[in-house]
Amino acid sequence: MTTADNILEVQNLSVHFGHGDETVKAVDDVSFVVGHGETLALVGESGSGKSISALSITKLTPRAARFEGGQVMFGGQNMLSLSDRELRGIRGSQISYIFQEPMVSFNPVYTIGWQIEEALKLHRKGIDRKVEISHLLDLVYLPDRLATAYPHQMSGGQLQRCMIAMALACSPELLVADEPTTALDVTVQREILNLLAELSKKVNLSVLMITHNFGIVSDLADHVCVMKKGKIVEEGQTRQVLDDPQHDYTKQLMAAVPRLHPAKGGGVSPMK
Amino acid sequence: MKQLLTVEKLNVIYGHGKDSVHAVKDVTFNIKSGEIFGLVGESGCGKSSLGKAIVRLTDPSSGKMVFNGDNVSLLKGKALKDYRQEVQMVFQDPYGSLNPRMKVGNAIVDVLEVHRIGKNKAERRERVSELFDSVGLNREWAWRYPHEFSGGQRQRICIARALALKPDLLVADEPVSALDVSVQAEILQLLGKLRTDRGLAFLFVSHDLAVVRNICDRVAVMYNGEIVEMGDVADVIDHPQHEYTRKLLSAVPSF
Repeated sequence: MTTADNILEVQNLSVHFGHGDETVKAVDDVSFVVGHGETLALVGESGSGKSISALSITKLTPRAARFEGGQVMFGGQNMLSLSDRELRGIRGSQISYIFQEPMVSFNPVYTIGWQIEEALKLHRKGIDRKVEISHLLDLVYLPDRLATAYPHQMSGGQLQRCMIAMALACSPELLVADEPTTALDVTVQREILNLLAELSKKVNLSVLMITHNFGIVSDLADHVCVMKKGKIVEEGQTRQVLDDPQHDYTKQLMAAVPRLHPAKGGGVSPMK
Repeated sequence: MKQLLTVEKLNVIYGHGKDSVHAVKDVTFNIKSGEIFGLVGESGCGKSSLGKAIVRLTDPSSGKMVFNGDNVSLLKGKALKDYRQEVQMVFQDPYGSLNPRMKVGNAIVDVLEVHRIGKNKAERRERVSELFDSVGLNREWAWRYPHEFSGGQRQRICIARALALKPDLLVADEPVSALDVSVQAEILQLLGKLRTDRGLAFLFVSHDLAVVRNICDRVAVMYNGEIVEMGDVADVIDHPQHEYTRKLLSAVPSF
C-alpha cells in the first residue's frame, strides 16, 4: 500500500533481459518513493538502468524485459499486476511521460494541436477541447496560434514545451521526465527547467526526473537516488548528497560535470 | 606561439535580397598553433556557420582567412583539397557522421585513398590501426560496423578519421553535446591529450560555457552573428563584460 505521503512506491523491483548466462539485470532490487508534490531524481550514466526503472512504472518497457520481482504501488494498486487495458487508463491520464528527443516524440504529419487533442479525446470526455488546448499552451508560455503548427516549424525548446503541455493535458499526478533537456542548448535547458520547477509548484505535480547531470539534480530535485549497474548505490536529500557524497561512484559522477569555476588543477575527470 | 589562423571581417550570408540571412557578421579573431579556442553561443547565433566557413564547407561572402600565411578564403580545386589536409572537422552527432553500412576502418581508409596517403591497402590499414591507438580504441575494432559502438566510442572514431590527414587545426562543432557527462569528460580529456601530444589546435564550438571553461585557452562569445566578447577563458567567465555572456553564464546548471 502507498502511504498517505507518497504517490509512488517502488519496492524491490527487478527487471531482467535475456536468459541464463546472458542475463542482464537492468534493474536489480531497486526501491524508491516519490512523495506528493515532490521531485525525485534518478541519476546515473548510460546503461545504469535509470530509464528502464522509469518505464517499468507503467510497464512501458521493451517486450524482452522480464519482471523478476518487486512491486510498483501507485494509487493503492500494484501496477505490475494490472492488465494492459487498466494500464492504458492510467498512462497519460494519471502518470505521463516526457522524453529526451522532442523532435522524434511528435508525429511529423499532424499539427501540435491535433496531437494534444488526442490525449484529451481519450481521457477527458465532454470538455471544450479547443479552450483546453489554448489553456495548456498558455501554461507552457506558448502562443495559441502554434496549435496549428507542425512539429518541423518549431524549435527544439518550443517542442519540448509542447510535450510538457501534452503531458499535462489530463492533469496527471505523476510526471516522469526522462532526460527532458539533454538534447537542448543550455539557455533553452534553463527555460525548460524553470518551467518544470514552476509547474510542479503551480499544479502540485510530483515528478520523477531521470538525468545524468548532477547540475540539473541540484536545480530541481528534493531527493536523489544514484544508480549504478541496476542498483541504487546512494540516496538522500539532494543538498545532503551534493554536499557530502558517500559513495565513490557519486563522487565520480559529480566530478565529471564541467564547472564554471573549477578547483585549482581541476577540470573534468572521466569515470574510472 | 605563432599564428595559425587569422580571420578578418568574415561574413557569411545565405540567400539573396529580402530573404537573405546574415549568419556571420564582420567576425575577426585568430587562433595560435596548439591553442584551444572556444566559440560559444546559443542555437542560431552563427557559430556553426563560422566553423563551416573556416573548413570551407560554406563559402564566406566576404572577408579574409589566412592560414599558415596563405589566404584560404578563395581557394579552389587542388589548392582547396590540400588545405583540407590541414583543417579537419568533427561534428556533434557521431551517429549521423558514420555510414551505417561501412566498416568504420574503411571510412578512414577512404580518406587516405582520396588524399593518396600510403602506398597500398596494407599500409593504409596499418595507418588506421595507429589512429585507433591514438584515440584510445582497440585496433581490432576498426573492422566493425558503427552500430557495434557506443556514442562515446563513435565520437572517438570520428576524431580518428579527422586526424587521418594529420591536420594542424580541428574544428570541433559541439563534439560532446550529445554525450553523457561521464563520456563527455573522457572525450574532453582525449582532446586535451591530442593538443599536448601533437600540438593540434582546436576551434571548439559549444553552447556550454562550463565545458569551454574546462578545455579552452581563449573564448569568443557569439550573439546574432557577431562576436560580442573575447578573451582568456577565465577572464571572460569570472568578469563577463557583455550582458549576453552573463545570460549564458546564468543558464549553466551548477551545484
